[in-house]
Amino acid sequence: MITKRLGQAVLLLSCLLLTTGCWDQRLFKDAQLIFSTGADLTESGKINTTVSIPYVQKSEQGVGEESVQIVSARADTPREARMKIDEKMPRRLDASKMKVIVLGKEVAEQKIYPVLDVFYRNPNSNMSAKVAVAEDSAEDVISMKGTEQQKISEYLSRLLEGAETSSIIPQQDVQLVTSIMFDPGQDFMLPLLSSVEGGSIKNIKGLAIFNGQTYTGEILTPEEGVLFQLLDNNKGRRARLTKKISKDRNPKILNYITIDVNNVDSRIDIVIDKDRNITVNLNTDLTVKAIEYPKDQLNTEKEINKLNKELSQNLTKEAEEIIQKLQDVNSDPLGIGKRMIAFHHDTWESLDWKEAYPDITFNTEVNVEIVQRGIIH
Amino acid sequence: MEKTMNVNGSDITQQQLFFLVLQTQIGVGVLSLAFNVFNTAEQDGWISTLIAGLAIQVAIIIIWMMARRFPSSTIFDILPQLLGKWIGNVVNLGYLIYFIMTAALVLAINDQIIKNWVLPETPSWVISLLMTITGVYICTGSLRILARFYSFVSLLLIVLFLLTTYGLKDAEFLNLLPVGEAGGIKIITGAKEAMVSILGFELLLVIYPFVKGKSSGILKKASWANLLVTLFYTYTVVVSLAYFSPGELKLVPEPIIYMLKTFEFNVLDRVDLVFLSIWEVSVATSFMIYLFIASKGLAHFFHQSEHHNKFVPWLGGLVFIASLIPGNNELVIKAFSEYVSYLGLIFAVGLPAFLLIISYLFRKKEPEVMVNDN
Amino acid sequence: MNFIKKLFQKNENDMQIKDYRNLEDAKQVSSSADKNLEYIQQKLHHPSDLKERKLKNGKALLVYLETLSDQDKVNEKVVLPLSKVDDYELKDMESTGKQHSDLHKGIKELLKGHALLFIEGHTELYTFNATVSHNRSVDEPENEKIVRGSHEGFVENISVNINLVRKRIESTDLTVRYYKLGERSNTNVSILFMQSLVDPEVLEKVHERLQWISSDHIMSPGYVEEFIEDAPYSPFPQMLNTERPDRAVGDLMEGRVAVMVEGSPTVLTLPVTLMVFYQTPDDYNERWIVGSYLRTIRLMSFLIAVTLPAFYTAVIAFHFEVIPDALVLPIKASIKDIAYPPIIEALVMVITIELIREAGVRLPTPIGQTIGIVGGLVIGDAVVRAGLISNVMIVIIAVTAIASFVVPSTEMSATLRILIYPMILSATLLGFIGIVFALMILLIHLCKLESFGTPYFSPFAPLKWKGLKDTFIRVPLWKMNKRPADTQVEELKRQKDSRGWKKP
Repeated sequence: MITKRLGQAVLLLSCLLLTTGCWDQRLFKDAQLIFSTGADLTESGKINTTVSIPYVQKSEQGVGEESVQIVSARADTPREARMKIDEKMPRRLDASKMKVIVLGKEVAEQKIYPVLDVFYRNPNSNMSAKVAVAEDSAEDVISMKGTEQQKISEYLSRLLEGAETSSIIPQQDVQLVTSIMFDPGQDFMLPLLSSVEGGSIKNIKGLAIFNGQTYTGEILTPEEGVLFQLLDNNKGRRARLTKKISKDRNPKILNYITIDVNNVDSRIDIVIDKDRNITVNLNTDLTVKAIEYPKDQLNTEKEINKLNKELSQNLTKEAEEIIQKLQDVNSDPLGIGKRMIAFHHDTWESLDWKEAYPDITFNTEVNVEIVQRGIIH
Repeated sequence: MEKTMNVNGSDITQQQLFFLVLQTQIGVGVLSLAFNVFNTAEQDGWISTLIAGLAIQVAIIIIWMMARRFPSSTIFDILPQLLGKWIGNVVNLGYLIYFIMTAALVLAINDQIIKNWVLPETPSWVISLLMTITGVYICTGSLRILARFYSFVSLLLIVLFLLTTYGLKDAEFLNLLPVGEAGGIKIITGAKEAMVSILGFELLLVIYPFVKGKSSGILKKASWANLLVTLFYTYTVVVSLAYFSPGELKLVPEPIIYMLKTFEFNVLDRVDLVFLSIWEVSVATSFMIYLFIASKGLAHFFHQSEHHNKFVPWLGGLVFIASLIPGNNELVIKAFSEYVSYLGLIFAVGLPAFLLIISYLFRKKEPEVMVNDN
Repeated sequence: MNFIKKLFQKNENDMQIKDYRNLEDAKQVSSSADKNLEYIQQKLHHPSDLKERKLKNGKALLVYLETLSDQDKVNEKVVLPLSKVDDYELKDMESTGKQHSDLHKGIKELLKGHALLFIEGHTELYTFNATVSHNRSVDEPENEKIVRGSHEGFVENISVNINLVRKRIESTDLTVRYYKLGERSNTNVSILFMQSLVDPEVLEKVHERLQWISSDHIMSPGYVEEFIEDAPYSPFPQMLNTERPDRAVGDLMEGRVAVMVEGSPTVLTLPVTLMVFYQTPDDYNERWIVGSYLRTIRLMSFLIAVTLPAFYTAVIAFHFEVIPDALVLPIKASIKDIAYPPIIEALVMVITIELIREAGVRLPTPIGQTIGIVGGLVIGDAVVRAGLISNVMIVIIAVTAIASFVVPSTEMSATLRILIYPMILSATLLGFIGIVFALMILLIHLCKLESFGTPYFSPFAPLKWKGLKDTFIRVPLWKMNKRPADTQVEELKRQKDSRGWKKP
């Protein structure tokens, strides 16, 4: 009896379920996907949001012609701007497949979290989207033409991924950026896209250095970027450096060597003396492979040792410059503060880190060892 | 080997007990445990979780020692024997209410998380109703059906474990240092928070008499399950602590899925949805067992202990309605959860200890205890 | 209470059908042959194929059903010997015929194809077995073809079928029990089992449930199946249908019971588990690595058949963020201009495929194939061009349909195809969460199902690591030293070390 009545009840309830319909259905075919978005600050303090919307035509063989539409809107917050764009569009805007977020320079110079909040709060948003800073306006970057084959979102994300692969910028996405943003002991850097000229950007200009949530205006060049990743023990798939090792050879090409870093071992030691002076020993050991040495004759141990020494000095000097640059703008992307919290908690508690950081002493040393020379010596 | 249904059709093996305890303990709590312990014990949250596991081990031993003295009785039979018919039945009612409230709380929290993460527009009652129907369907069967189901879905925990492990890719273990900095009091408070998530072992109070085999084996299996759960929970806490910076973890109430939201695999983006789907099964198992032991309790009141299934539909309805009371208000659910967690500590840890003392003091136990328990 | 009520009901039924079933009471053979003949005529309602022959100047009466008895056999067994003896002494006839004094017994024999001989003045009759049988040859069954191994199949004759089994198991252990089922049809049903292996409880259950059958005829094993299975409302088959003797023998050797029904080549074996439906005799003829590979593919097909369309529907209707970046635009392009929501798309395709299948099944092979080609290729292509259904959906449904046909048992295949509907529906209502709930209910159902006391979902639930050995992979035969425990077999040990010759 009970089972029968229960069966009827279940039947009734499932009918009820069916009649009420599907509340959360959001059909893929009706969604207007946006792949990239840019945020700029207008003079009146409003946010100008630009989105790129790709369209595809169906053809006999799968995907047909693609086209991209660029739409912008101004509002007080990014969410409101997106709502305004939504009003302009025939279909519902959907940011769940977002690939690239570009922040205009002015936005980056303010605190950036408020602009990104909409991504963090929405369960549908894509947390693996890349973030970059535009040298001037994000709208220009988003609305520029991609290359022949690629949409702008694809072009930008490939560009950034390529830079990650060659260790110019650290592995990053929206989530990792926030994680560091909220970390009291570390700062982050974002890739800086050079300004648009003749309808396209030239390259990644370098790494925009942030202090807390704001862009300091200083950058690391791509070469410095690679070295910084090495100091940070954070080599991408590939890290290549071309260094000048002498001045006087002729033709000039003979003055250079290009190395490919096989292995990096970077150690950060923090020493605090009795007077609470903080010294950071930054030792980086690189084992490298020479992939281009136009001068030739890499066959003697003496030559290699000489090169090792030359390269070590060269890179040490450069590393010191990078550290100095970071200290000057009070940015701590190496996470020295994190180590202070972890290993010297009492000192950390008694310090105002933001004040103390620029004054700490760094002993930087880079050791290079060539272990491979390619298929000729 | 499992033979056919016997008379009451509900004997389970010790291996099945292991899975029952395992699945009951892993439930709604797994998502927000790291957040909860971090808020009190900061980066030492994982120590809190371990301590909570230890405390629960003690509680399991207490329950076991008590249940061992009454090897063929559920808590509902034991209480009147120990406290007298009148008080005993009042406490029984307390247990019944506690089980019902826990089940309702599981529904409410589950509904809230599903609403936040997957189905924002779907009305609350739909998810709860589906869960209730599923629960009622399985609970009209015997304990053995539950045990079979739980054993099978435990395989899914491996997937949860692997997905969580993927988070180690971007982990920063410096976040865990310095160890012990939070201080004893904070760690203990954190342990209390964690204990609430690991509750579930109190099902032993009811299902002890249905487990076949030696009582020492029962303790062993329950302890193994607890150990595994504690380790798994600690693991998720460690991964969350390492993945998120301390500043961000304060803002993310469900760190594990938030972390998975970032990952992309080539075949499937957004693994948080996969995780949530599997987690839903773990929630269902927790809900089902509470519904089941509550129905056993209700059956006891009507002196029909052998026919708990008659009461399951009614109880399901009751739990369903109870779960709707907090509505969608996150703060009310939080208060509800706080309240139930205190009840949990009383009914799962405090009372059994008290009962154990009484049964020792007054030398009360079942006469045949020496025969069954050799 | 209920039980008594049922008993009572059964008695009532007995009363109603008594008038045509009253062959049970004994009826003395009359000394007058004509009277006997008249009685038989009456009992059988004057059938036209009842032959009677007066022999020996009317002193002996031979009666048989010409459609059931072989004329030559009758001549050889009755007419010839009878003509040789002069005063037909009783003992002469005893050498070839059986003596009965109960006329009803005689009628029963008559219906089996025996010839009856009455002798004037004697209150006894003789029966002679002259049954004729028209048998199909034991060809390989069309629906259960295998690549290697035995190509014999059961036929419509129960004794041939038992013969096929007995030939394979020359053992005193093999036991055959006959039942007469069907109040009017008196169909021969037999159960076969290995006495020392079968679980007595299962046997007891089969016996009890068979006794309860009171339908007036048993047309096919399907009748028996529905009457004796545990959960008639379940979509899952709880007995294995097979037309293969080697399969039946394999099942017997694992402690199962085989039920045979006269007039049908299909044999039911029980108790079964879900996984039994995913095994074929082919697995054991292949090399074990290949066998394991194929079995894994089949298990994968179970998952695909049940979840793939639901998963896809959920993805494009709820969670399209899970589509990887590289596929976003291709899928988007494909479904952009489809008029209908995904559920309609999916249902239309699923139903179309069912239609094509159903239309093809009963047609002669050449036409059936044409239907398949027209349906599959032409409709599929046209439907995409017309923009009614996206080509991704076609791919999904086609893969699902193929996956559902992979399972070696047609019953299970049908079950899988039915299960698609609730899965798609739940996916449309609540996306992944809906699928999870649907799967949970399915799982709970499987956990609750028992086939004659055997947990249906074994070895998954209850979880048995040892049982999984013969589920995902087919371990080498010489390692399967124990029988699967799910049939509750009495004696687990199957063999010692069959490769013991391989000394180190």
